[in-house]
Amino acid sequence: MKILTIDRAKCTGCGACQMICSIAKKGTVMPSDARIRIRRAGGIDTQYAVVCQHCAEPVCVSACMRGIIDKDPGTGVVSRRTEDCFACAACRVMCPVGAVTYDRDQEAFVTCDLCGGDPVCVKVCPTQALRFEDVHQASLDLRSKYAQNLLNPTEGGVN
Amino acid sequence: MQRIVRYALIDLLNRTAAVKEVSAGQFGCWSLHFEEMRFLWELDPEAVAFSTGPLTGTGVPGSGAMVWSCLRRGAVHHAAAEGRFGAALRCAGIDMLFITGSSPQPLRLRICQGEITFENPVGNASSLLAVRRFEDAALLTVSRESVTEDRCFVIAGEYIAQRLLNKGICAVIAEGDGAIPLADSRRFTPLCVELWQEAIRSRNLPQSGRSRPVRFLSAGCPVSPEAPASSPFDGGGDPVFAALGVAWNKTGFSASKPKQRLAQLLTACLGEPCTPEELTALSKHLKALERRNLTRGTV
Amino acid sequence: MVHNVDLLIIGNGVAGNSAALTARRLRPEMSIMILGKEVHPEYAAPALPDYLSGELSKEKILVKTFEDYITHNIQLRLNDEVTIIDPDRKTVSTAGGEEFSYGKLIVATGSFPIRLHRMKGTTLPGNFVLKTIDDVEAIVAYPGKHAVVVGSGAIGLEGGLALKERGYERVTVVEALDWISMRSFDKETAGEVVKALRSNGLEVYSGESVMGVEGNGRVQAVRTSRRVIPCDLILWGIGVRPQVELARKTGIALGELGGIRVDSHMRTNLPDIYACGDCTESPDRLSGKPALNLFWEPAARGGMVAGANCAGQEKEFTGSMAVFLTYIGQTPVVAFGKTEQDLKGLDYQVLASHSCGGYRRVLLYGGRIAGAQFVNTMDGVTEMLDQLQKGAPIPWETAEAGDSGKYAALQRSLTAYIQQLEAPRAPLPQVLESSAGRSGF
Repeated sequence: MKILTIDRAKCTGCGACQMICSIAKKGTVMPSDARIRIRRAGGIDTQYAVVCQHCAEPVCVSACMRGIIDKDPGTGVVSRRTEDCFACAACRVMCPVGAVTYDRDQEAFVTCDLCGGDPVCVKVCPTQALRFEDVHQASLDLRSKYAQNLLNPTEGGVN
Repeated sequence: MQRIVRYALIDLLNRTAAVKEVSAGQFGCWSLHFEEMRFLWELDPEAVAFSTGPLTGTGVPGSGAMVWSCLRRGAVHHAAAEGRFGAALRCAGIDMLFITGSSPQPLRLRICQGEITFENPVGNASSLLAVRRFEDAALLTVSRESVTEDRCFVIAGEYIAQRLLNKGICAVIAEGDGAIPLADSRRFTPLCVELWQEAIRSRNLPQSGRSRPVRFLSAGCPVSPEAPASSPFDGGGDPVFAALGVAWNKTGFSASKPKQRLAQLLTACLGEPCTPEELTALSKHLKALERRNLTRGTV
Repeated sequence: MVHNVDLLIIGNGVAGNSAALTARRLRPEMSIMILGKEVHPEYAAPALPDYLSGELSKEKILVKTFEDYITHNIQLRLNDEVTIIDPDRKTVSTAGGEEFSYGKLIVATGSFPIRLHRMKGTTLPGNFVLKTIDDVEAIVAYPGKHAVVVGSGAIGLEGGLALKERGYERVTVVEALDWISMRSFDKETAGEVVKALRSNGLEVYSGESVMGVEGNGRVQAVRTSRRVIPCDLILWGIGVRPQVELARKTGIALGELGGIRVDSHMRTNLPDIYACGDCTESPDRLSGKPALNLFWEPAARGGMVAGANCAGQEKEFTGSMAVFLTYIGQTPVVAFGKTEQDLKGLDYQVLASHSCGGYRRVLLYGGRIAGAQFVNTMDGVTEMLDQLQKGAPIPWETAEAGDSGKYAALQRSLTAYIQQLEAPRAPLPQVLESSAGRSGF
């Protein structure tokens, strides 16, 4: 399956993905409720984008206290019946990357649904750090990069 | 072309702040405070104004544009910049700041969810991060040389910085989880995507990550963090772009047929039809405003 | 007549249902049946306080409708209790006289709330627990104005808040230990939580034990070690224990903590019998030792693992964790890992501050995150929880300036959060004046 992958070496935290996500999904510019977000724990040097990775064994599926999150066995997409969410926040707390957002209009926690297969955020990423690609290929690429970096350490590093 | 502008009048001497709304003409850009709010400069010639345009923070390439204004030798002085502060301010529910008076004690200004508080500035840079209430707060620190955003980007130079310091402001926090008004998102989204695609194709984009930080929503060449980014007012650049909230000029993103694209974006953003002719008229008006001497009351 | 079922599950809670759905997905042709003691379809027990407060209707706390069971082809026998498991004949008998033979059996009998039967007055009308839908309906039907909540776990506190929302004039929490939720957080965190409880209208007494319940024919007061509190209703929230009577009778081995002992495939000591959920003890991810982490998430995940194994897919359970999560009104409270009490005698460090709109507290030991507590903010939860599970030392090297992308973003975030937390002596932001509520210029 294809997921949104973020090349950390290229992501500048510019915020374009967050803006376009909120415009496309909510019809307004409300970056705090976007499903792909720039996390800003510290200064400019710690900002990074997070988005649902549709994990192979999603913790959110078991954490959800209403059992409304499911990983589709066919497509692999992790989705939820948002209308039945009672906002317990278990998914938000347990998500290993912090990709769950609270949507105030729906009064529910939400995650990236890949825009149904044609994610809009990818189209605006100025550095192409954000890509919509096959998860196995992306994983293989990343592991190769790490291996290469071990052999020939570069200043840029890998992550 | 009308725009609802929410502005904050901040009186540092009496430590009061009022948030008001006005339906402003001329797209509600910085001309507002030289026309409708002229009394401000008469009240305090040392006043500092900060404005965002209707497109500031809306996600279009270069939509981190914002403008500082003050009086200098009787005429309007601007410092335009790209950064997060304007967008963060708008998410906090405010489009413009008017800062008058001065505080005998140094203070930190916080604009959070539509409310303004005056705080005792304590601690170092790490503690500025700690006093945020929202993770995407924009943090400004004021020194004698510059106004710096997030300890990295200069968004105003010496002149504005010293004005703010004289007023007693040493730091500003803008934060909030509100929405920035957008009338027609269906129209806006494809325009926005198209512009980013153009920016990407132009290859005029910032390169890698943390070693060369990039300004918020910037699609131009990486400028040194010490430069206040685009200053379209220098060298006869067209003030209309920064005034309306986009940094499109020689150092920023250069769209093809920029005024046409800008008109289309504004139509979608404000919900009223906007033409390139109106933009040209505004451009002329802003340039004329720059030349006028306000202390003689001829605006 | 004996019904044959490929996969028989005792218990209609989240563990049993997760097992059933997982097995169903892997083996569409397998016959699956759930036996449940209650009459309701699967519901979200953690949402019972919202049902009690009236915020959610019964329909809104159901995880499944009866139609869902039919859709998934899961047979259901409710309102009946299993009395005998015969592991040799591989049959199960119920109180209602039914008998089933199984290919594989999953025991998912859950937990029961602790009640102090030997204490005077605890069997009078007016004593309640909050464990089932029937409990909620009984509480709602019982007239009352003043309530006492005994214990301060999430269910007790949420239950107390729900009673206030229901219109109770006075709700008092009585906690025997030195401060509330002492096993989950430190004293300072408890102080912040108590502030939130009080602003939601609850009274809180800590370091006070309940000595007895008084009343003539019904609950009329609670006597603690310090005072007498007149009340109409008592909500006992002093913990739950694994429900293992049936298992024990059957010869299923229990662990030292009293829960059913299972291996990483959720198998018990008896062939073709598995167990999952609150009735089991499982290795704690952080300590590696068996623990009773009786929460929703390990039960759901344990059920998935049990169901997968029963359906022929070898899956392993990777341990459980105790994550305290509740909302006191609008205030989220999150806590995990060790508390100062757990680290007593060791050389640990506390970093805490009022920041990011709330209160955060992190305990460090041996250069690693040992525990973290959050009140009214979730900033840093992801990073701390991730690091805690990794058990790795805090990567201080990521804090160096001039990083050119060498370090993982999550790691740098972690260091940034820790740098923002100062020692408890840090001053609060001092507000000089505020525009809130003012108008004129």
